[in-house]
Amino acid sequence: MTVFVLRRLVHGALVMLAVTLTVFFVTRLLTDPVQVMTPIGASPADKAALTEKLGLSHSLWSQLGTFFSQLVHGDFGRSYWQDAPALSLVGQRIPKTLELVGAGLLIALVGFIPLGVFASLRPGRLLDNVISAFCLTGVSIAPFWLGTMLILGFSEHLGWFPSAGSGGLRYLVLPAVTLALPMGGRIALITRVTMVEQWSQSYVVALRARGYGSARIIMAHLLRNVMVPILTLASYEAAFALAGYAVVVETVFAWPGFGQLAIQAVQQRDIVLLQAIVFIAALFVVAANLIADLACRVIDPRTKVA
Amino acid sequence: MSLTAADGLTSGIGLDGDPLARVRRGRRRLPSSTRILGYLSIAYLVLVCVAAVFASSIAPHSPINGVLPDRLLSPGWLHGKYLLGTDSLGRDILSRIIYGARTTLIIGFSVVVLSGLFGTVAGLVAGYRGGWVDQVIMRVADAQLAFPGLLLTIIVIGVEGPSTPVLIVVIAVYGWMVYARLVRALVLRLREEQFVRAAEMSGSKTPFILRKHLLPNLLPALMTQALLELARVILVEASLSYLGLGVQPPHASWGLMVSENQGYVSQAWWTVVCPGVALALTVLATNLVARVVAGGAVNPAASQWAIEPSGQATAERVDESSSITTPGPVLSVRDLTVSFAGAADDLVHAVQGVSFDIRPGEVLGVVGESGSGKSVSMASVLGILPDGARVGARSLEWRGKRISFEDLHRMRGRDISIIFQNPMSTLDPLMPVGRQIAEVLRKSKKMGRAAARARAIELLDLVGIPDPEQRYRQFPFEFSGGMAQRVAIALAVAPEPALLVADEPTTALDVTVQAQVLSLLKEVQQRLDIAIIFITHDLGVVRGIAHRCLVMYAGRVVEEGPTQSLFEAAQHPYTAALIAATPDVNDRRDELAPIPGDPAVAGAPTLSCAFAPRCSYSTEVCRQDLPILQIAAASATEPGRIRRVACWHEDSIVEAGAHR
Repeated sequence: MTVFVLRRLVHGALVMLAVTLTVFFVTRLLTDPVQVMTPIGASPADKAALTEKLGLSHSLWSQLGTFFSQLVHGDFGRSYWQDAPALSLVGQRIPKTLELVGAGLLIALVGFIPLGVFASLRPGRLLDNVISAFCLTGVSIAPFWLGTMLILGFSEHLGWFPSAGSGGLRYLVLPAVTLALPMGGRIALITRVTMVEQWSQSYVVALRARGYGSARIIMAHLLRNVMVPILTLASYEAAFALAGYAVVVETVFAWPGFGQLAIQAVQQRDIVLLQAIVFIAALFVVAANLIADLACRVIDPRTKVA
Repeated sequence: MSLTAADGLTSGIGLDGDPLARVRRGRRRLPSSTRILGYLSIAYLVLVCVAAVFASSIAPHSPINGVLPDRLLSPGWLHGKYLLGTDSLGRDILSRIIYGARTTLIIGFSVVVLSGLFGTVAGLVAGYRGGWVDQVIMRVADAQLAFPGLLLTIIVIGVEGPSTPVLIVVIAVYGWMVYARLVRALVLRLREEQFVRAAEMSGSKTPFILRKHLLPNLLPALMTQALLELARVILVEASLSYLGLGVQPPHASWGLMVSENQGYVSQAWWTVVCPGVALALTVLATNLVARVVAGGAVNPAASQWAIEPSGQATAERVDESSSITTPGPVLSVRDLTVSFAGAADDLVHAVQGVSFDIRPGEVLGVVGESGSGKSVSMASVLGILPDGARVGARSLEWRGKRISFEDLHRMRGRDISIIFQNPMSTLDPLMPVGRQIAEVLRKSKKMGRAAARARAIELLDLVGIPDPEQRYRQFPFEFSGGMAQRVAIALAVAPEPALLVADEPTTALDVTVQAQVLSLLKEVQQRLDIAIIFITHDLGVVRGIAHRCLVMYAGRVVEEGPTQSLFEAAQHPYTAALIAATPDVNDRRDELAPIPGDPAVAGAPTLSCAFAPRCSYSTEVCRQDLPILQIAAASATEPGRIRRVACWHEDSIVEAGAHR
């Protein structure tokens, strides 16, 4: 177990290193940060000042060295747009994004795993077709459009939920549902497929031969056996949500998480802030994968040390 | 089964969990609803493509220049000037949707082709070359899957500025790994296939074989993957355009249209609903077509164990002449028939009129080659046949009381237990073995948690597992085959059943382990006084354990009698041939005599002797009439040692046996 955890940690660290290097080179080689960050018509003096501030006058390798030594000290530089430490700007937004993604994931797991289980009971029958169609539709709808439609229906017309901002639970409902539908759709579909596979396994036939009913077989045996693929998928869903869909959903609902901050940073062309956001997002992605790996390992003791 | 990341991403769309399933299973028939939806989707996608290609001649208005006085006109449907209404700049929504299709498809197809080609090449290289090349490619793919993808895309577009080529490259860079993993897995799997191995042995070069067999197997899987990716890319493009990082105004893109008009959604819903519907339908249709290409999502054969076969015993008068007149059988079955739906509408008759009795404490061996119906007949009694099996019997009796199949099924796990051939796969892989036994005890004996645990440990000890306390907590994968079969025996005897069905319980084990498990079964049987139906094709095994034997051929019992006398003097040519084909350490014959011909395959009901084509005694009568199982003349005078045989020539065989 210790070896397993260590290996996963090393793997995670390597991914973080790769992400950091990618961001570093993308921002310095593909473009000229000074050109990007200064307004059109900025004076050469302003540009020179920024070049100096970002340390761009040194060679690429010494820049890389400085970049990493600052990272190690938790210094992500100052946001050009907000004139504040980039890390603390991102840090303020983290709880909101975690709240949104956590709520979305909870809905997706609690609401959609049972759907997949019910669909798997009689494959090809009406219930299965209805559930599969619903999930496939959920997977196919763009979150930004779904969010807009939910706002149109539940805020504008019915007035049940606020359409934007954050506050109490009522603010959370629409964005969380928007985030949950595509995630849940995929989770339900994979639950269904793995359950269908499980029903034909010998050990299930053996349970049946021991006189166990379907409900008991599902609750006591099958669920545990289908959890590994479901959790693996859920961890990827969480990662995608943290570092992707959340950006879109936060924009639709003006949810003050770091996804919204990322879009603002792009609009403000604040590369320093963007770097910090991507680094933090990558950290969460790696953590989500690590947690899922550990959970799978606990559920399935056969999981190989990879 | 652990799921790789790539599998997780793609199989979520409700395809087979394994995109390569076709390689093994061949094409399955799709349910008609899926097919119809598939055709509708293809038709819709063709429409979208045509609209995209001929946008300039189809679109009724300019997508870019609007007529300001006509702003925010509601849809005119068939009468008005603008079919789907106009946006806030007076531009025709329909025209913008048509041009948006062009944008979407150009980006979608470019990305899929780019990343598909690169990924396929990477996968081929990794699969063919193996070694460190494979390691490097797969490590990069793994790491990239853990990247915060969309955010990186956003950062690149943020610094580079949005433009179509940048968009295509950035999205493509993030999509190649899925293809690479797929292709590599397929190459590796094909390499393991028997026919590729065989061709390698015969001197063909591996790349040639792979190329020949790879393409037909690869194309459908790649097509499926490409379609799923197309659906994903369309969504990503729309999302980026919505965020202002994709297609830029005044050009048309569905995502952009939604963000442009979002502010007017309450007064002009059509400006947002129409492009969104176009987008959702396109993605949905692409996903549905992917499903059809993959060969369908539903595998009816694999899944229907949940439904029990409808078996019913019709209560009729028991034919006295065919019953064995020994008092008090535990289970008595008359004229059991099992049939399956065959390829067309015809039925496959797997079991035809099998009757047997089993008395308390008796071990009844059921012997026959594969396909003889021995396992199917016993599985039908337990109600664990797949759906579609039709089971019937003239009568079923449990301890002298007439019962139905449903009654019998209700006794499973309490009065009747079963042991399967492969112990490992019949244990829940993710539950400690002790808990599985305790679970049975709690259910069948209504024991409390602690009592069940204590008894389970006792049972583990009883079946000869050392260190039962420790072993209680271990998982099936920590057991050897022989030890796992001991666990299976403990599970089976835990409810203290009256009848135990053992289906080839030693076949999957090593010879030395076989002997141990057999003697354990014998010991447990005597100690708990359980009746055992012992199904096997191994005559040596049956000789060691069974008191009485049924020999089955082509779904019928051909001979029945006490094991000893049956083995000493077989009265059915098939039994005799079976014995002659079995090695025996006590008998120093020089060679074994194989049975000529192939085993009969269950099919239409047989109206003549099924063994006749392989039998050296067969005459005209064998090919014309069905011999009935009846008390053998030779044993009629020996009460208690009654033997029955179904052969027209039993007398000649007895004589031949005597002269040997």
